[in-house]
Amino acid sequence: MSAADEKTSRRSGRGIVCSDDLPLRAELADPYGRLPPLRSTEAVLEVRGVHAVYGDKEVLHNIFCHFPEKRVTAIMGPSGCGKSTLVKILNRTLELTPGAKVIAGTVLYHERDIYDRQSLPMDIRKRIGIIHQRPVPFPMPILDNVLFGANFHGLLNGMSPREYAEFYLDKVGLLEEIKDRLGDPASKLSGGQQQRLCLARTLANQPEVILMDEPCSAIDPVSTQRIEALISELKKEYAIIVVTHNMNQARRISDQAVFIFGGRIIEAGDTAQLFKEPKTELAQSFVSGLIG
Amino acid sequence: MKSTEAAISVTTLARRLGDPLMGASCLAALLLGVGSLLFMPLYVLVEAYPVLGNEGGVTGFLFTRPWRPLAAPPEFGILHSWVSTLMITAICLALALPLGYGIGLFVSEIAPRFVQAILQSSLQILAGIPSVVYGFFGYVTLLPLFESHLDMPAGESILAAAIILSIMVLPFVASTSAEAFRAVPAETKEAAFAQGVTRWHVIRRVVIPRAAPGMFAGAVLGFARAIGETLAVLMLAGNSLAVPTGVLDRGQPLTALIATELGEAGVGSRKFHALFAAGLILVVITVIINAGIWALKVKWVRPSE
Amino acid sequence: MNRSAVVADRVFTLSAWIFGGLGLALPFSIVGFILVNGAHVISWQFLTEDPAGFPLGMAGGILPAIKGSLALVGIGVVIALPTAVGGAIYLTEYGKNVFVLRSVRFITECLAANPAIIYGLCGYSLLVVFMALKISLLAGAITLGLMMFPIILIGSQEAIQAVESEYREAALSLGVTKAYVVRWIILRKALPGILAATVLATGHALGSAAPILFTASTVFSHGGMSLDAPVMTLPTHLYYLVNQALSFDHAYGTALVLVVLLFMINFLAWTLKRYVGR
Repeated sequence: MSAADEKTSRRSGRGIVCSDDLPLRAELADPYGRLPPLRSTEAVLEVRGVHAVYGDKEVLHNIFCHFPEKRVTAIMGPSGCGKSTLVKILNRTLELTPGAKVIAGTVLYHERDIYDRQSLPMDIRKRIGIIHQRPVPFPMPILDNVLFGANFHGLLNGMSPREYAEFYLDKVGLLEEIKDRLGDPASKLSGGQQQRLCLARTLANQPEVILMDEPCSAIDPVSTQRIEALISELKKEYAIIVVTHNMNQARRISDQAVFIFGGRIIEAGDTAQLFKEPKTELAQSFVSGLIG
Repeated sequence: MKSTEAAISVTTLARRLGDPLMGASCLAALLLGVGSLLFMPLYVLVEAYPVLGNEGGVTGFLFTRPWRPLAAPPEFGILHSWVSTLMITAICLALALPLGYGIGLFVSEIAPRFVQAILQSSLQILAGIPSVVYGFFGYVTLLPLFESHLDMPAGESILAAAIILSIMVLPFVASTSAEAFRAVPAETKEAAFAQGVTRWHVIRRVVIPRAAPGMFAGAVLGFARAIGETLAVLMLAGNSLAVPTGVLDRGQPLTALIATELGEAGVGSRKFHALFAAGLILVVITVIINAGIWALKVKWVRPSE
Repeated sequence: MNRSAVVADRVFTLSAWIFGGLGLALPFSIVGFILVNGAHVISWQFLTEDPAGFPLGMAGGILPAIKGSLALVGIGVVIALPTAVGGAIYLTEYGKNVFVLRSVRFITECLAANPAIIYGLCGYSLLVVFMALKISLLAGAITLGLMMFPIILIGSQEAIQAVESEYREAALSLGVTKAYVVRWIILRKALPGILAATVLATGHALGSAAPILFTASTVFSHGGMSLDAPVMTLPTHLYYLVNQALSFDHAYGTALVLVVLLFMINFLAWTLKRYVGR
């Protein structure tokens, strides 16, 4: 197989781009720079040449990758390699941290540049939701927590608030446990319950993509299991991108994986494939537990 | 998808306007409030200015002319007033500082936990009692005492005002210095104790020198508070127009002068401007002191970080 | 360890305890003194009647003074609270320029410590005379409001700033506006701090006579209050009673009512803090 054919087969339909100097989509562009339309099993989010900084320290270098719909993609790597930063640039929540920003490149969502002047961060964050490492319950009853974003975006559409909230609480498996406590302050829930509450809150926003920044690292193992089960359920409807430093978790839950190290994408592709036959040395070290 | 998107945008349009609206109204509030605050001292300066330019000028106002509004022509000098202020403040600090530092040391170094808490509450109570109540308290306790034991026809005096004022200033000195003493790192104290010396020795040689800037700040803040007090000194100092020479003399500090004379000062009259000039002195001293403390805080907090 | 050092230490410890005891004794004696001498004066009539007797104030009650004080401070809070909280919100959430923020903070702290009589002086000249508000409830309330503003501003700003950034980030990640976050989350979390600052300011204003001596207060009023008429207040009433040597009994009573009112406000603050700040 010629080198060109090899490249082509690696990047067809199912996969994610591999290394940081192979801008996948651009090579498929026609002479006028137009890209072919995406098909449903293709990428919903595409990162092109992003450089991100915290203050004057560059933490992401020349990132190219994309993330498919209705799949779980894991972003994995050792601590401090830029995983959280990468996931945050996907819905423009990186800029909420003072001093952090994307200084080059862009992210395309359904072919639209989310970093251009016309895009409203608010819209993007509604459609691409995120849950953080530490659950952040708002200082209000559980019910109000779930409805926080939904109320703002006017998503209830005539449904009673209780019905709407219960639907999403049920979706994350929380409804059984707290059915009669919906008026209680959210801070009374356990860590695992709070994280599921945050997930329900994000789902209630009716996003299309769900980002998860190490969602299980601050909660107990039982809750972790439940959330992993939820992820498997939810991927039927949403594109899910999970950051994790635990490679076993990545192996368990994801279909595709991106391995990032030192702010660069080292390897990416089908999870099973990546774990069985990593193509780069760094990835090899990571999956065999030598680094991380 | 498109139509529901449009519907969503319309309903949240009002919500989206929230940001600029809130930003603008909050800015307006800030400007209104801080602007008014800033306006005050400037206004005092403007109204005080005529006096400073007048016959005799500043020196006359401060040092030579007496306060004789009813003389012909009326004269407005405040020598008696700022001398009263200084005397009262000096005596007040002479009483309040040792006591305040002592209490501060007690709270931070010696008192057991629950005593600390009780003491802190008592200091807060002391600080919360209004000036007029202190004045009243002094009026019914100190003045009769002075009259009977010091053989005075009336107890109002510089000393009486100063004693009550020192109680008012006490909680500020105590809490500021307690904070300063607490800020001395535990390791430093432990290292000193490890030498096998007494607690007093450690306090005298280690804690106090380290806390000295904070103690100084406490003294200065106490000073600012003392010169600004009105009602207590108004009721206890005596309101005499003569320059006081001894502590048992009656005096009329700047604040009391303004409080007494403002009622009869026609707006725009020379007395009016003179009172503003007296006020200007108070404002300038207070602002300088607070600015100095601010600078000290800024300079002091950073190096230790 | 030599003998004199031990002696010095003992002397110091003893003096420290004495000072501490004094620090405890002072407030309790002052308050106790007023309580003991004023308790017998407090009666239903005292609290609910107008001053009477000849000269006025020797008999009757102090109701107008209580009403006047509460009205002055109440209106002052209505003026100062939204302004200060709004300003605090701007400083922490919308302010971009660090230099501007620091200078505003600097100005506020420096000018917050202005002597109360200066507020009275300016209030008289600007509000009563220049703006022709006359000596009135309104003029006094504005003066007190201005006095309370910096206290509430600084306290609110610190309370808002103390709200952890995770809340902001998590809330904004849901695609809502900053105003929405401020309204539903930040203010909720900062409320105890804001209330505490307000109560501090209120207590301070309730007891001050100097700012309102020439802007709002009068020796006697009765019947209803209106914004353009002067009012009696507790601190000024106390002052007049003493100054004119009218009735020391009533003076004790007035002082006691004032002190009790201040205690009640502080107690209210304490319970509010515990209830809200869960």
